[in-house]
Amino acid sequence: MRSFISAIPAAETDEESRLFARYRSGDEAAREALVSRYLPLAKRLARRYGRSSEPLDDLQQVASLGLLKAIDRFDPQRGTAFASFALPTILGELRRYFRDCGWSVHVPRGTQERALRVQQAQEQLATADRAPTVEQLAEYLELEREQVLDALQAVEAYETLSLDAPCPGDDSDSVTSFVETFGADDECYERVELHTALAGALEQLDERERVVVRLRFVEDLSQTQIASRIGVSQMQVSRLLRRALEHLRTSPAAAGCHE
Amino acid sequence: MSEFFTLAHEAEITVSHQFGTLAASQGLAMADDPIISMTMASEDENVLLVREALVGLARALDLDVVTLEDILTAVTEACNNVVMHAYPRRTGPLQFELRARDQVMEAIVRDAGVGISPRLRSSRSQIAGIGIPVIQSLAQRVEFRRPVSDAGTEVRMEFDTVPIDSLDALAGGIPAIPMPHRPDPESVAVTLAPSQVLREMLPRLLGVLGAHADFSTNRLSDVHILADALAAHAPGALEADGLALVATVTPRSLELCIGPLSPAGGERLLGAAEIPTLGSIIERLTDATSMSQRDGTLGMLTLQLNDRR
Repeated sequence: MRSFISAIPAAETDEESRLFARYRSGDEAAREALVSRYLPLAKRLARRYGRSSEPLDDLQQVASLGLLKAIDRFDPQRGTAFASFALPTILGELRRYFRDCGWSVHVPRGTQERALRVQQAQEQLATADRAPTVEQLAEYLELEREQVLDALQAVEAYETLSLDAPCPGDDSDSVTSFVETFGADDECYERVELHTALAGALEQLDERERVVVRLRFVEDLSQTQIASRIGVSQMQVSRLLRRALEHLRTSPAAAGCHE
Repeated sequence: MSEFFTLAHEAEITVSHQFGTLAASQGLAMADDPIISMTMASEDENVLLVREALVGLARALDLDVVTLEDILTAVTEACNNVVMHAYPRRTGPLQFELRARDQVMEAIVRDAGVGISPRLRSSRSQIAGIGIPVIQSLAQRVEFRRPVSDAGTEVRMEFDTVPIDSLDALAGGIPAIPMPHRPDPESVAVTLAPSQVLREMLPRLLGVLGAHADFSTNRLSDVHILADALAAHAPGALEADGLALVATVTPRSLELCIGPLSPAGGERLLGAAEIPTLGSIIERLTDATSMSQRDGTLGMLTLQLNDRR
């Protein structure tokens, strides 16, 4: 059996034992020294466990709490290095945090918080016919690419966020809901003459869905172009399109068209 | 004595896996087929692909959040170990597999590079070397195996789960999907089964690939919509109840090869995604589509997406 931390220089383990001895005899400064010595380990574990679901600040607090518990419970007499004891203790604290909160994988809080920021940044960085890349969004928001992708997926997956949420970019005194914005713009697209077969197929969609499907697939506009034409974010266009196509797939009328 | 920083088990295995071409591609019906199987280059961005696959699967199966985070964290550490240490100064194949059994999920991370033992010996720093202790803390059982040739390492991790209805229904009933050949060492090959997991998994997987291709969010959204359409319609066009995918990423371009298709499956897939007068959504969202016979007999549908900006 090989120990992974046998490579730690003896001088360091000696220092560790001295600090624990001082702390056990009531020296609070020694406890502080142990905390600052192992805080980087706690933070690293917080970055590894649960980083896609929860805000990092919260996780680092939980991990720090786990570190304090480990320091208080550690028994240097047992001959193991403190790190061997602290690592599972800190991970255990992180796991318990998730278990106790009972959050589902469907609505991680960190994702929800980031979704709005990503949506706003997406609009700030987008030009008339050019949208930012995931890399650009990640850099702008100082997030990881994974977090940006996760947020995009959350905003676009129609079940997660309410369409009645205020449009990003609206100022607080004139909160126009997305639905209202759409109603105002709709009339002009009503004039577009449509093939009857298409009209029939799209009948089961609501007005907003019909508009984006038409603009995307009849007028062949990009999502960014549709977004600027009807005054919503590109991500909202995407969500509407995904929802519209899902409706077309699942409704009995649409199923008939496919046979 | 704490076991956490100690190798649980280091077994010699006499039959090594063939890296790059999996046993399944010889058509062996294994008793225990993976839900997810992935072969890709040992690069950072592919670790993200594995992570997103796991998140999608967790949503598809409605796993609890602790199980997901345990598997996600341990598998990430094992993959990062391959990316950083398996192939000094080069990249090589990284394989990931996930299986579900009776209240157990098994994850395997495999490489064909430097064996695990020299890698462990070289991890001198206490902090830098926390990957394997993390794995051992989170998985209920861990095994490090290497083929007799000492080329490569396999990390097998088992996670006990509470009874999960969706998992019980799957256990033992995962169809074997042949792993397609990767035309390029940088290509990613994936099999997913059964096809009920596609709805949550495909948008996430293709989203990561679109990001690798440096697509704008505009085109990336198209990729998500395409993934929805494929997840919905592919099951009616596939040879088995699962999907094989080969993805090749070049700057601003993504090629997806999907199969194995049943006879005339490609036409059926495009037709199913059709809206009257608008044509097939799949064709409308892609820059080119073609049907081919790959690997001799398997029908594959190739989709090309570009981002012109």
